[in-house]
Amino acid sequence: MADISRTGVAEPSAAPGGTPQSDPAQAAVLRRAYRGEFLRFVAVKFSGALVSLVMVVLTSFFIFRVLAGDPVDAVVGDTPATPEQVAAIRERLGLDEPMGVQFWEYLRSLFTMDWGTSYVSDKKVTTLLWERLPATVLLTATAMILAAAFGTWVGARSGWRRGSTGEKVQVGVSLTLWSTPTFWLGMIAIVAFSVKLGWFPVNGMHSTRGVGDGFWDEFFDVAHHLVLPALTMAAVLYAQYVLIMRTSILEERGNDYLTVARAKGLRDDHVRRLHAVPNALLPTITLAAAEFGTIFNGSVLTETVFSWPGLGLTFYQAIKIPDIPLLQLLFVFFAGTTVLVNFLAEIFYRFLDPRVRRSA
Amino acid sequence: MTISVAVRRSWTSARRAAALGAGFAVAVALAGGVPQASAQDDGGKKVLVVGKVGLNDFEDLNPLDSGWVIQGEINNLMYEPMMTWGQKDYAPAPGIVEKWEFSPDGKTWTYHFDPKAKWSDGKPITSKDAKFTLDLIKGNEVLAGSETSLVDPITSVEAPDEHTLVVTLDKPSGIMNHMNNFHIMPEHVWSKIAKPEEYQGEPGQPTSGPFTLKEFRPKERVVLEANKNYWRKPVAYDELVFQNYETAEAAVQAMQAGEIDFLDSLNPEQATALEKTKGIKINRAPSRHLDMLEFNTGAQTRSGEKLGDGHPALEDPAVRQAIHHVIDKDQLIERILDGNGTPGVGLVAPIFPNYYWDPGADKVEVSAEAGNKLLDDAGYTQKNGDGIRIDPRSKRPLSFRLLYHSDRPAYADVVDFLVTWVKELGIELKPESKESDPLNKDGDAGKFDITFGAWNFGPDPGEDYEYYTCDRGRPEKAEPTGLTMAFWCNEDFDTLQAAEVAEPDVTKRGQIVKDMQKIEYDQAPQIVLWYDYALEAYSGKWTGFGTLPSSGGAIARQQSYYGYAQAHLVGGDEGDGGDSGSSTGVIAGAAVAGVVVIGGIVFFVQRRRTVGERE
Amino acid sequence: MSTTESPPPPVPADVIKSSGSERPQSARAIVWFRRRAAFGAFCRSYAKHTSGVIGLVVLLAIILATVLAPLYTDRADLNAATAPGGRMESPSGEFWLGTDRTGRPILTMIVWGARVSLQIGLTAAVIAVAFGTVVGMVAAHYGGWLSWLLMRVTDWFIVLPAFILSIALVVALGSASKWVIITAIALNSWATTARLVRAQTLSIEGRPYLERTRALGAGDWHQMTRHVLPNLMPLVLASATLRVSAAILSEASLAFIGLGDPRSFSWGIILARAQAEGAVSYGAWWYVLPPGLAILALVLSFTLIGRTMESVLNPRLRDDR
Repeated sequence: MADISRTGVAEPSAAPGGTPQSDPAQAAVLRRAYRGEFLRFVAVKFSGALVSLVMVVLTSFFIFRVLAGDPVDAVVGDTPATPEQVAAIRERLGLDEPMGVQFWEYLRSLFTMDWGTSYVSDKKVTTLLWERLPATVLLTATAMILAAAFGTWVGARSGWRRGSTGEKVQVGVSLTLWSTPTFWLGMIAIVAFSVKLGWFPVNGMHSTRGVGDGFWDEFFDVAHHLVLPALTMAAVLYAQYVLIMRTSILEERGNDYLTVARAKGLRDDHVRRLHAVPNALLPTITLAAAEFGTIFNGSVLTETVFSWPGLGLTFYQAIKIPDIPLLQLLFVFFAGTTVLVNFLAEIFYRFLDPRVRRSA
Repeated sequence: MTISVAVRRSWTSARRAAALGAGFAVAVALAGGVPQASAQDDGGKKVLVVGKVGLNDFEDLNPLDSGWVIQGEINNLMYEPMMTWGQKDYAPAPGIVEKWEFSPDGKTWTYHFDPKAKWSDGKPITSKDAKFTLDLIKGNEVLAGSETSLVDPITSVEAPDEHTLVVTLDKPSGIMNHMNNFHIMPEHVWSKIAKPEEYQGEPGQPTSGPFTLKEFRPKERVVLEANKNYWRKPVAYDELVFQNYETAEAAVQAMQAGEIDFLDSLNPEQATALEKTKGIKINRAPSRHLDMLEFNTGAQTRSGEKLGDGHPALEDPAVRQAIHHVIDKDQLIERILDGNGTPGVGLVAPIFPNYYWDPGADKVEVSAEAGNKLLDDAGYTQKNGDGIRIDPRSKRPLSFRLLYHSDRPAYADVVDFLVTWVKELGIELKPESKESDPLNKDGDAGKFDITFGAWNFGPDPGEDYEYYTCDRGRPEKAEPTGLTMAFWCNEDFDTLQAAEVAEPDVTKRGQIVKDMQKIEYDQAPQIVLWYDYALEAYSGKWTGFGTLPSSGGAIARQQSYYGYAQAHLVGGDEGDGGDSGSSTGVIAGAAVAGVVVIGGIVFFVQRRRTVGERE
Repeated sequence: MSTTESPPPPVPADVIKSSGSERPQSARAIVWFRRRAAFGAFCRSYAKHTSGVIGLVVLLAIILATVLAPLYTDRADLNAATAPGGRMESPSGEFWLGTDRTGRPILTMIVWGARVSLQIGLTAAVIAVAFGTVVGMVAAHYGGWLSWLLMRVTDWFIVLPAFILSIALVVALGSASKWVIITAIALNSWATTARLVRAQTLSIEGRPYLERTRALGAGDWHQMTRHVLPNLMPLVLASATLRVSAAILSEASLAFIGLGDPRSFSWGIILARAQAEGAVSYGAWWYVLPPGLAILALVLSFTLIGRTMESVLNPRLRDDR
C-alpha cells in the first residue's frame, strides 16, 4: 500500500537555501567546487545503490530458496507423482544440490542472465518477464501519468489556497482515496461500470471474441480494457501527488521571491503557475520516485482484480504455485528497478534543484 | 527577480525532461502493448468462447503428458483415443479402434482399427501409429511416468497389418479395455520430434480429433479450430476459444457481461446469479468430483518404523467410524452446497453405474448416540477435565488436528460444522489452515491427523484404489510419499484390488470394485462427504452440449470431447457476428474517452509551455 | 518507582528554576509536571483540528463497538453450524446487513472482524515502530560504522516494494497465520520510523542540556531513556498511528490475494470470502460494501489522527504561517 507518512506533512523537505550568491567571480569558484562535490555525491549514492542491489539479490535467494521448500507437487499436476518422477523433477530443477551449490548456481545466473526455467513450463523465466512487461508498463505508465498530472495540479491549487473549503475537500478526497483498499475499489468499479452499466469490459486486455485485424481495432480494444484498471490504480496513487504537491507549495508560499513577484503586480495565479509550481514540482518528482515501489505494490492488486496480463498478475500466479525461479526473478526485478529509480531520482534532484546545489 | 529567473531556468529543463519521460513512457507502452495481441477476426465465424479458471496452471499442451485436468480436457478435444468412454454409461466404447478382443488368459489383446480414421492432414490413422506411440511412451522415462499402469504390464506391441494391433502382457490387465484413454500420435510427424517429452503444443500439428490447435498463448488463451477433415461428424461451428480467468468471480462477471458463452466450476451462488441473468442457462448435474476427510490411519514403513506424528487413536476404526456417525451429510449439502450434491459413500460417484456401490441398509446412521456407543464399547470411557475422551493406550486425549486448504472458504465453513458435531462425541478437532504446498508436504510426511481434500474419481478404478493398498500405505523407506492418502493397509482390500486390476471383463470387475467400497466404508480410512454437482452456465444462443453420461452429467472437464464438440448455435447457421455492432459503439465511446484524456494531458503541458514562452 | 539502576543524577538548578510557579518537590515531579503541561498544550492544539477530532471520534466509536461486541452480539452466530440466518439473505430488521452463504449475519462478522483487523494493525505497527525507534536511536547515538550499516539497511527497506516483500515472506513461511502476517507487515514498515527517529535523536542530542547531562557523567542508557526517548515519544506516536493505517491496508490486501487465516474474520478475509462466494455477481452488495467501507473508515480515522498529531508537533506547517 501507499505509504502516507512520507508523503504526509512531516516530510522534511529540501533544506531552505541561504541567500543566493550573485558575485560572478565567486560563482566560477563555486561552480568548480560544485562539480567535484557533485561527482563525489554521485559516487556515494552509486555505491549505496550498489549495496542495495546486492542485498536485493541476497534476499531473493534467502526468501525463496532457504525459507520456501521445494514445490515439486506444483510441477506434477492434479495427480500425485511416483518417487521416480519426483526424483527426476528434483534433479531437473537442481533442488537435490546442497544449498551452497544452489547459491553458487544462483550467483552465476546473475551474470549469465540465465535465471532458469519456470517450474510449470520449460520456458525461460526471463522470456516470461519480457512477455509480460509491456502490459505492466502500459498500465502503470498510464495510471502514473493520470495520477501525477491531476494530482500535482489539484495539489498545487489546494496548497495555494490553504484553509479554503476547496482545499479541505481536495485533501479529504485524497485521504479517502488513499485509505481505500485498491482491490475493493476495483471490485466496485467492475460491478458498477462493467456488469451494471456495461461501459467497459470486465477484465483482461483483449476482447475474448476478437475485434478485427487492423492496428486501430486492436489499439482501441486495448484502450477500452485499460480504462478501469488504469483509473483504479491512478485513484490510489493520486493522493500521494496531491499531498506532496500541496506540502511543497506550502513551503514555497512564504518565500521572498514570490512576494517580489507579487509586488511586481503579477496576477496571483500567474505567480502560482509560473513561480511557485515549478519550484514545488522538484521535491514532488523526487518524492514520487521514492514512492516508486508502491507502484509495483499497486500493480499486483490491480492486475489481479482486473486479470490484466502484466507482471503483477504473473507474480500473483507464481505465488499460488509457488514458482520459485519466476518469483526470484520478479522480486529482483521489482526491487532492483525501485532501487535504480531512487538512485536516478536523487541524482536528478541534486542536479536540478539550485537551492540544494548552492547550499551543498 | 534574479532569483526567480535562476530558479525558472532549471525548471524549464526539468519540465522538458519530465515531458520527454512521459512521452517516452506512453510510446513504449503503446509499442509494447499492441503488437503483443495477435490478429483475430470474426467475419461471420461461429465461435464458442469458454471461460476457464486454471488455464494458467500449465504452459504446455503435450498430448502424451496431461498432468492437469484442464490440459487433459483440451487434449481430448484434439486427439481421438483408441477407445473412448461411452457417453451412455462410461463403458469403454470404440474410438479409433472399432472393436477389440482379449485371449482367455487376458494377456493378449487384439485391436481392430477403423479404416475411416484419418489425421487432420488427410493421412490415414493406422495401427503403426499406435505401435509407434506405445513404444515411444515405454522407452521414455518422463512419459512412461504418467502412464505406468498402462505401460508396465506390456511386453510387446505388434502391428501385423495397418488395421490390427496386438499387445502382449506379462499379466492380465483390465485397463487394456480402454487403454486409459491415451492418445496416439502420427508417426510421420512425431518420429521427427527429438524430445517428445518437451513438446509444448504447436499450432497446425495434425490431430485425430474434432479440433486442431490454432493459437496457444500460455496462461491466457487457447484457440482450437474445427478439424475440417474430421472423419466422424465435424463440429457445427468454427472455433473454440478457452479464455483464462484468474478467479471464478471474474469469469462469472464476464459471463454476465456476455463476453463468454460457457463457464464451468461455478459455486451455488454464482449459479443462482447467472440463472437470473437473461439469456443464460444452467446445467446442474452430478459429477465425479468429491470432497472427503482422510485419516492418518497410522503412518509407518513396511518394517514398522513410525512415520510422521499422527494421533495413535486414529489407527482404531471405531474412532474413525464414530466420527462418521456425527457427520450429517445431508445438512452439509443443504447448508454449504445449497442442495447441489449427493451424500458421499466411497470414491466412486453415482454417475459410474458399473462401479458405484449403494450401501442401502448398511448406511452409517447420523446419530451421536451411535457414535458415543461405539467409543464406549471400544474402551474410550475416561474423560479429561474438558470432557474430552482419553485414549486408554496412549493416554492422550482424543484431540485431532484437522488440516485444510486456506484458499477454500467453503472448507472453512465445513470445518465449523465438523468441530461442532464432533464435540458431541467428546472429541476435539483443532483446525489448521495451510497453503496447498505445505499442506501436501505434511500429508506426504504423515504429519497430520485428519486432512480435508478433494478427489476426481477415475473413470478407471484401478489407479485410484492403488492409493489404498498396503504397497503404497506402508512405504519401504521412511520418506514422505505422495502415493498414499490415509497410510492405510488392509489385506482383504489388497486381494480384491489385485483381482480387480487384472480382471478383463467389465461386469465382473464392477462387482469386485463394489466389494472393495464396502470394506472401505466399514473401515473408514476416509469419509466421503459428498459428490458435488457440476454447475455450469452456457449462453442461450448455444445448445446441444453433450453431457457425460448423457442421462445427466457434466459438460466440461470430461475425459472425452462430447461436451463442446456436440454444441451448436440455436437455430443453426447464424454467425456469431451479431455482437460486433454494439461493441463497436462501446469501442468508439472508449476511444473518445481515451482521446480526451490524452488530449487533456497534451493541452495541460502545452498551455504551460506557451505561457512560459510568452513571458 | 525505583529501579535497579543508579539513582538519577542531581538536576541542574536552572532547570528547577524555570519549572514554573508550583514549586514542585522533586526532579521527577518536575518532569511529570512539564509533561502534563505539554500534553495539555498538545490536546488544546489538537482540538483545533476538525479532521483530527472527527478521526478520533470515529476511531473511538469503532473501538467501543468492538469492545462491547460480546454484549450485543453472539460469537456463536459466526460458527457456520450455529449461524442463525438463511442463505445470502438481504438486509432486514433482524439482520441489518444481511447474511452470508451459511447464514452468518454480516454485521456480526464486521463487528468481530474489527478485533482481528485492529489487533493485527496495532500489533504490527507497535512492533514496527518499537523496532524502528531502537534502530534509529542506536544509529544516531553511536554513529560510526554501526550507524552506517543500520542506515544502509534502513534505506534499503524504505526503497523496497513493501507489499511485495510481505507477500514473498508469507509465501516462504508457508502458513498465513496471524503472527506470520504480523511479522511480514512489521518487517516492512519499521524503516521509515527508524529514519525519522534517527534525525530527531540527532537534533535532541545536540541540545545543550543533554551535553550537560553527558558532562555530568550520565550513561548511554540513562541519556536514551530519560532524555531522548521522552522527547521522541510524541513523534513516535504520530508515526505509529500512520503505521497502523498502512498495516490494516496491508493485512486486507494480503487476505484478499489468499494469504490469511480463512476461519478468522478480519475485514480483508470477509472481502476475500465475499469474492470467493460470488457475492459480487450474486448482487449481494451488503456483503461487499460494508467491509470495504469499514476498512476505509478505520484507515481514514488513523490517518487523520496521525496527520493531525504531526501537524500539531511540527510547527513548520501550522496554519499561522
